[in-house]
Amino acid sequence: MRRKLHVSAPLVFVAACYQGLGASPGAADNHTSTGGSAHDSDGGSDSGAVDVDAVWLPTRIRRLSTRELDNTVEDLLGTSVAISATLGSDLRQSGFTLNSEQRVDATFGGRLQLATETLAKEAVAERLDVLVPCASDPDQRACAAAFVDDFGTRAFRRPLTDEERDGLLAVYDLASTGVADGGEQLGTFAGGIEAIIRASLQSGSFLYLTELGTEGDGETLVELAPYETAAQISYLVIGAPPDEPLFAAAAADSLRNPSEREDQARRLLASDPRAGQQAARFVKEWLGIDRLADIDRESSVEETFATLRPMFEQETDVFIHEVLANGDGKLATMLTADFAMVNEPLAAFYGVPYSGVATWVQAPLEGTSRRGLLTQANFLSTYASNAPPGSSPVNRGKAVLNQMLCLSIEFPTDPEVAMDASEVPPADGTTTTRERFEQHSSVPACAACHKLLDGIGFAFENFDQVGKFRATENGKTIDASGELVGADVSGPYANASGLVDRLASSEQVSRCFARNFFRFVSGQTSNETESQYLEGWESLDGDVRDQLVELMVAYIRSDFFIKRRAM
Amino acid sequence: MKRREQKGHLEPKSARLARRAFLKAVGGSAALLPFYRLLEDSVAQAASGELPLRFVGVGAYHGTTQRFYARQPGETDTDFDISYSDSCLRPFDQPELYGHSFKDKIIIFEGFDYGVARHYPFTYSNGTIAEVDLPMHGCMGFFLTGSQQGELEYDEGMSHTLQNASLDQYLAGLYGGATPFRSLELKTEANEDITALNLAAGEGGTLLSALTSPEEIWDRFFALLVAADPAALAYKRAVGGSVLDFAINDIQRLQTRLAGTEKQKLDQHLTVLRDLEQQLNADVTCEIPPRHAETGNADQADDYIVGTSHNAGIVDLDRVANMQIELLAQILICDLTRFSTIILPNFAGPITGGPQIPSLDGSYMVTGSIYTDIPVPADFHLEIAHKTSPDVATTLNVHRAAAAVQRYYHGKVARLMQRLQDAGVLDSTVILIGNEGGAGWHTLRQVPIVMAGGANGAFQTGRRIVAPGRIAQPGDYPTLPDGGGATSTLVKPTSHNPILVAVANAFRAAAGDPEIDSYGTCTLNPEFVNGIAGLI
Repeated sequence: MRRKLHVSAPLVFVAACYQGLGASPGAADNHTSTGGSAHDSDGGSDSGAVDVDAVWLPTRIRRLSTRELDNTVEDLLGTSVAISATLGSDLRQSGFTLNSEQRVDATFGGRLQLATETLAKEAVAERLDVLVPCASDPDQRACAAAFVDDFGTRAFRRPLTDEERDGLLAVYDLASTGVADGGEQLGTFAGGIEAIIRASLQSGSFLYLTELGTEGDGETLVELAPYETAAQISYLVIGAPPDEPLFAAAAADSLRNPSEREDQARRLLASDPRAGQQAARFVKEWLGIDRLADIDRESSVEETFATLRPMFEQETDVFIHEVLANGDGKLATMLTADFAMVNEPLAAFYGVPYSGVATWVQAPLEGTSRRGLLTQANFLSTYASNAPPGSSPVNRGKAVLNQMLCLSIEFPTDPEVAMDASEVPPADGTTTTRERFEQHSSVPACAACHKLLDGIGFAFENFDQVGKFRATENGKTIDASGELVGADVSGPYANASGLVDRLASSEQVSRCFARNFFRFVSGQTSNETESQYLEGWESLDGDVRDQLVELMVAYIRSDFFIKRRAM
Repeated sequence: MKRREQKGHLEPKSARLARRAFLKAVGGSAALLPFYRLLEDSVAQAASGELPLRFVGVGAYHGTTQRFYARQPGETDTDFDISYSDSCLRPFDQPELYGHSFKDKIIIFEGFDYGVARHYPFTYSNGTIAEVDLPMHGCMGFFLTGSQQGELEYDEGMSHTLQNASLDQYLAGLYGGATPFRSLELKTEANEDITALNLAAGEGGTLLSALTSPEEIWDRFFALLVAADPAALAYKRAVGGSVLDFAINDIQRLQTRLAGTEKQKLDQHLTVLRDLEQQLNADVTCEIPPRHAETGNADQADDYIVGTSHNAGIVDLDRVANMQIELLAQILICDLTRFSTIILPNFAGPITGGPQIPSLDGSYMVTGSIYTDIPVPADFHLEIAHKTSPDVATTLNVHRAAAAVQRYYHGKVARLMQRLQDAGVLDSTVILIGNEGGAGWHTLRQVPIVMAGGANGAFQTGRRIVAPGRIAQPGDYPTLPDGGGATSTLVKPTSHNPILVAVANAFRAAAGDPEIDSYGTCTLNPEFVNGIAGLI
């Protein structure tokens, strides 16, 4: 099925009628918050004309994220050295590392310099013959020039200009022919190649994806240049640079055609394993469950949390791949899947059968309270408590409110409420977590927010701080029933499974998913642009709207993907 | 000092004379003049003397307790004691630990709020719509920027968008080109860049990433001081220079097609590349401190772990902080940079698995208090920032714990001051210590801000300064002139931006630059960004 997102210019002007989901009329301004209720963070325009200039993504540059840089240097140099380990963490925007706010500041620049020196040295020492097949040719400068053309084109994701080619050769000349004052030859061919690599990897043309269109267009709305389009497709689908077929399509200027863009995207989705990693990256950053490596929990089982943690992280990756590659790829399935992907230790941890041999396999969840992503140990331990060690109805409830329903709830600013809010009865070894929070939310000032938070968070009370199932707490039977409020699918549920069934049927959740998807793929958080995107999203078939791969393809086909407002 | 070429430097909103604006902002009343005159007199001294050369911004967490931060009964602006056992400020007068008393080298600010960090409209549950303070978390970034909250909020209130550069970066942009490194950003916990955890911001308020590992800091700053074979060094410099030249030319080509924020990204990148060029050719001779490798040390006890999260309870945070303080001191002494920020450990989460210790008030605690001079809860934040309300009479122990945490932070600064004093550079250094929050329950009121260092006489130190419009109260929050409480979010706050303006102007005076009259951004209350211009 191929459908086009309706984001053509006429729709820009009718976007003003959009009303954010979950908001009361006129309350969609996300700068407004209330002292006791969630507010809509959907942020749609609710009245008045929409500025036509505001709804298209602007012409811009986007620095590659560290994960994208890992993939890129691996493609360029064949290295297994992860440059991200040196570069440190990315600045996030709405939780996403792929965003247009990434900068090269002094710390990043210094680290990049060090990393490129190390990578270039390693590549030349280990794989010179592979990188530079003509390395043993007698005409070394001609060989270097060929390397500049090949490597430079791949590094810059477009053919080099003469100026760039000459510049890189000048770097080579100096590094390959350097002579000390005493006449000692310091420069070598390998040293020259090393310097070309260093210069390329520190340049802006390598570090930034450009979205500028063809130079000299002079239009207010410009279309991405062919090589820019190729790079956008590739980094969006697999988080890595374009391959040969994409380069060829760019050279033939065929990527203006939406169907050609779709074909290229589907080809990558079908053939490159990094497509699954990219999809998993979106889902994990959306739910905020990609940060488990930075979290410590007091383990409630024999294994330490440090031992459990990598297994939990891998489960999510494997699960998302399973749903996308072998399942229907739908959001609802990610939320309600009646199977887990387990290895032997995780099967034991979950108490489900394991039928594999030293690998990850499906295990039925029948007879358990687990269903889908939200009952995986990754989500449950990310959103848990250290003081005291235990579950956290508030953290879990807040995560679902924020990330799945696009409702935000703030720590109360009213000092009197804030004072009460911090006074949750301490764990005393006799009460359940639920009893403590119920006591807390009986305080009138706390009730409104906690009705929202606990109404979701209590569903996960059968799972402790590392996601281990528990039927009792301090000798008392766990009550995981509750009532979801403030959503389009509000109502009672019996346990986590019941809650996720409600969430999976929610239009509000679908819409929030789409909003976050757009933030990820566009690398920008902008209420106006998101609202415009969502208007187009609403026109898609229901099957497409909740299907991650199809959403990606629809986006790549759209004008949103290829057009930019000239700045 | 000659004014350097101001390439791509950061400039706050206005640099016009604004004495009248300042007086208007603070109400123009006689009661406000002491603050105004004191700073005027002290900053004016700078015109004829040596001026500050270095700036260090320090970030701390969890707010403070007013009970042991404010002056005590009978004390005045200039006659006060900070050496009593529970004083938050005791490390500044503890020569037995820090070699010197620094009591005469500090200014203690009382009654200064993060007035720029406000939010409107806020609807109370009773329907009242008002302008309110932001919640404390996420507000570390407001300290040195004096910026209001930007249009968007990320990460659930833990990160706000900012709109202008932090003071350290503003100064580094102007005057940082004289040293091999324009600035140094340090953070004791290697976690992501959000305003809850970052002090330094570049132009437009973009957060700057920071170095964390002492090993990496050493490699970055001191490796270039290690003597190398002259021929190899010359080759390295020549090749490195040509590599950077190519990268610079490439950025410049790209830059021609961009404007506004997008061009700003490349301006920042270009400055970084030019600074790297300068570092490549730096010729500095200085005492090189020991390099502390993270792993692989002959004695395994010397190995350490650099934290990745402020809540992860990493056991080596204190060691990392101490090593960073030592390295920072030597970097400043060697004049490798003159502008720096450092964020001290958060300790917000308990060290999981640690042995239990008695609680101050019976609540859950585990050890983690080993860094303070009295036992305090391991989870400092929940046990302190949420519980130091002055109207809770039963929490004396909590106030004592809060003070102990602040002594921990001030002790780190005192150690830095000791190193700088012994090397003879403290008197030309301004250290500005701030916090993510203020006194009491998660507020941005009465933020514990302390200026330390000699600043070459640019500021008259050894005193307390009360915010304009506030009356100091012994052991309590400064009040409104009529005696009313000033901590409610419904009471218009004061602004700390005048402190930023005063510091900026001290440096500008040193360079012969005209003073500025404001620093920061605040459209809700534009007068909050005004300072004391026209004084030097």
